[in-house]
Amino acid sequence: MAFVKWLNELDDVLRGRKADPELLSKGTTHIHARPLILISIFLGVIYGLFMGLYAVLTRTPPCFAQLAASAVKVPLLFLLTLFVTFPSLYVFSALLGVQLKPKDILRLILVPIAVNLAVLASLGPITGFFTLNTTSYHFMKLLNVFFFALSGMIGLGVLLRMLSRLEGTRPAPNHAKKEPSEESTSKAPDESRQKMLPSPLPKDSVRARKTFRVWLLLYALVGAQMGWILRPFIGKPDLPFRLFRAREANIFIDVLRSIGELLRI
Amino acid sequence: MKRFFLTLDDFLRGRGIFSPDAPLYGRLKWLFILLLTSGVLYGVVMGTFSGLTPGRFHQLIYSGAKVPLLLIVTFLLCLPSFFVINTVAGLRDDFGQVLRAVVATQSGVTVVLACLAPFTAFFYLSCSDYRLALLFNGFMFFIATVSSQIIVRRYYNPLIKRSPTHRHLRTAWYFLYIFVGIQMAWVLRPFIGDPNAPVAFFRSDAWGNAYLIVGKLIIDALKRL
Repeated sequence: MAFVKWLNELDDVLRGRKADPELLSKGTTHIHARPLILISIFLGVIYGLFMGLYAVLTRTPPCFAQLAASAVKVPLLFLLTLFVTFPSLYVFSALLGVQLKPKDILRLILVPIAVNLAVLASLGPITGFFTLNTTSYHFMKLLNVFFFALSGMIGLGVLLRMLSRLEGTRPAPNHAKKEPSEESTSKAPDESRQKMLPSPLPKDSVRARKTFRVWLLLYALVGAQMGWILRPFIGKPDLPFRLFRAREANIFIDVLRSIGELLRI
Repeated sequence: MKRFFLTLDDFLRGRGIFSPDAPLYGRLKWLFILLLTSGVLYGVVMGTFSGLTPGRFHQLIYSGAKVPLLLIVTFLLCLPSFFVINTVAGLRDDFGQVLRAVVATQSGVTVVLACLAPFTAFFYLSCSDYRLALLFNGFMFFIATVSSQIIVRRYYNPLIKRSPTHRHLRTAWYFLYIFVGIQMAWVLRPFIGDPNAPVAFFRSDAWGNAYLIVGKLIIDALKRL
């Protein structure tokens, strides 16, 4: 019943229970990394299957290799992007004096990624429906780009909300390591008083916010380009199936090209 | 039968089990029954344009099935993402009521359509032009969509009062639903049935993308200028 546990974790994330200010004030231990990663992979596979459907339907004989490749690539896209951008996030936030340990930061980042993938997977049926009756490769590509951008923005909103809550309870991560049993009763009034006070380290919280903002931009750019490197996800109908394509241009030029193609028709 | 009409009356007036603050239990069943019955009714009337000539009666069945199908399949496709987005926005606890609001809107559209069915039949009697028939049905759908806003307001206003985020999510729902619905309507063509074409559930050339085809028409028209 591990899967039910993953789903519960995902449900908590989606409902915003992980961003509860009271829980965040005690650190990030209430966010369980493993089930979140596993359910994120599962959601990525689901969307990947919908995405790869295009190659199955438009080609004769159907290209199931692309279906499998897309199902693997979508979760991979998110994992690799995290892998590329996480070290710099940790180093810079530590440099700037943000009081979060690497594990805390990782857990914090996993929440918006899970939200991102959940929204993406829930848009999957719509992608599937359009795939069923669209032959235009460029339309499908832009629809997918739009869905990725949309779900990414929703994930981003979740991260920003969590950050602003975390900032409200700034000194808390220091408490996280302490055993909750020993002093919790005696400290309780003190803690609640601290919570009511405005953020005691205003400079620090501004820094944290700035770090994460810059990082978000970086994450989005790397994510978009990672999608380009890992292409094909959909598979251009007139090209044979390849696991990866040759290095060429970048995603932003290609999206503009696709829009141009669609307008020319 | 009497029970059905009493329920319909309650639905239109938003009272009894359909009042916005009544408990949710057992309501969706009736909303779907209303959707199916009135959707089929309008669909059948819609199909009479070409379906009454001998040998084409199955057009009536096809059209009757397609109207509820259009709404329900579009609804089902949009539901997962709408559910997730609502949850992320922190409105999961209201989702039962939100679901009722969006289902009731669709029931409202079909009930209004059904009450407009006599006009459609009357129009068919006085005009035999296929294109005009298409246009007239489009107009009926437009009226039904606009009037269903009364029901949207009835169910959504208390929610919006509780949390203004519901307003944005309602807009998101419209965009999503219309985006998918237009393509769904395109795929499910023909609804009316061209009298000069053979009867078919799906048109052999219907498997296309509505947005691309309409875009092409617009660009071609611009080029000709």
